[in-house]
Amino acid sequence: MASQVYFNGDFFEAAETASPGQSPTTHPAKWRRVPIPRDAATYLVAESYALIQTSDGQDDKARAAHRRSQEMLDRAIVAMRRFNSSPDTMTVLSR
Amino acid sequence: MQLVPYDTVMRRTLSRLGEDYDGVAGQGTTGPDGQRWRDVRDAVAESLERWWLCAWWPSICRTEQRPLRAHYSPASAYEAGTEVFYQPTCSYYHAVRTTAGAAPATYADGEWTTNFAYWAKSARLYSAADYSDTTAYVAGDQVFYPLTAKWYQCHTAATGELPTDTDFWGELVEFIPTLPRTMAGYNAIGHVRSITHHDPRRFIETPRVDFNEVDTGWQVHEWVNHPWVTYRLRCPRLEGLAYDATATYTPEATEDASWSLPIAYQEGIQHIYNTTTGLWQPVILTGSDSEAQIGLGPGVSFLVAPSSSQSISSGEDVQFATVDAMKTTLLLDWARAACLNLEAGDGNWSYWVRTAETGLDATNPAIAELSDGSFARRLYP
Repeated sequence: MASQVYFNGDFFEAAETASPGQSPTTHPAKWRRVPIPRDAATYLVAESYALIQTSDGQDDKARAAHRRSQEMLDRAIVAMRRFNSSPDTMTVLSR
Repeated sequence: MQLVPYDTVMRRTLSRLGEDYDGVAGQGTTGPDGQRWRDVRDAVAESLERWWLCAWWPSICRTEQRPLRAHYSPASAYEAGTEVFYQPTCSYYHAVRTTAGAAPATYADGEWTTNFAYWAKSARLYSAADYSDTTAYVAGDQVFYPLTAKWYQCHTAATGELPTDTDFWGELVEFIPTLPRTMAGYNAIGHVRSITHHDPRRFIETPRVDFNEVDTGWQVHEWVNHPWVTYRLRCPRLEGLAYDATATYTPEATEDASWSLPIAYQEGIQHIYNTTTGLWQPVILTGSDSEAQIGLGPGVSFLVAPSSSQSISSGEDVQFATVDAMKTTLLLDWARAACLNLEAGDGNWSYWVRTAETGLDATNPAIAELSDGSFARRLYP
């Protein structure tokens, strides 16, 4: 039996057994909303677009879209680390 | 964690693709089960996993104190060998025979005593003399039995009964300190970043404990009873189809659940998940008892009385109130929800939350029976 549903624009997981008719609206205690972090949204749109272009066979568009989503992700990581003064890992490159 | 509705992501993705949202998502009762809708769902799910795993994003990381085994519950039945964590003594025990409702330890005259009739205190290694068939053993006595090369503890007085006789003996379980991936009442862990003896947010220099990942979770390399864990939440899956009002839906087993979670920490503030609103709501505990403050969200039921006591006793007339709006400012009335754990004697800060569970053992210091017959559980910040 399924445990997850799409309902009113979001995904919900059954927290308890939900009988027929017991929707996330009528019996909210029986369901948990599947969380999608707001700070991921922009990347999700960009990368999802790239993945769908790939599956649609639009390889050129897909490559460009992947590059843009990766750049977006890299910028977000850099921004996050800027506010973290004590990173716990460091990569040292040498010749 | 600030959330975004899935539909927002899907709308924007479809907009970029130049496709019609209504045509893909369906309208009214038709439901969004078309192939294109699934394509978008699967693409968002894959993108979410990539984002989730590529960094220690603060919004999906938590720091919290977690036991290495499930909390003992007086409402549960335990088979011999089952391991539990008993909060009042901050220790691990395992059942030496089938038991239900018998706490692992009892408190009397200022000290805790293991309930040897049903439980043994867990250890990584045991040391005991070889079994002798002429010795009179009493509950709590431990022996080594060379024929099986195992240790046993007596739960019922025995003379001449072999350690393999489960009517008198229970096998001792060697404790492997492993942090499980999932545990009822806690967030499912995706990846562990650090394990420490103390809260790393308050004690920044607290040394990290070494660990390594194993199939059942993360094995801790040194003894730490109740570790603090900084981790990334498990990435949720997006795999559901449109809600079917004629279907029955069942929760996944705990081990598979993405999201099991009444309590979490975020940016130094403890949060409670409100299943009514689907939101995380802050619970703020600070300072001494006179300064304590609590922020609550709508729908969360919290203890607001008694007014003078620092702890509550079973049967005491206490009151709960359901908050009708988010409150994050200092509210002295709510300060009483923060109680020093005087009853258990460990001096830890704690607070009480009403639970819908029934049949709980009110002699457990972490449980109180309320005047209306319901129960409250003591939680620890």
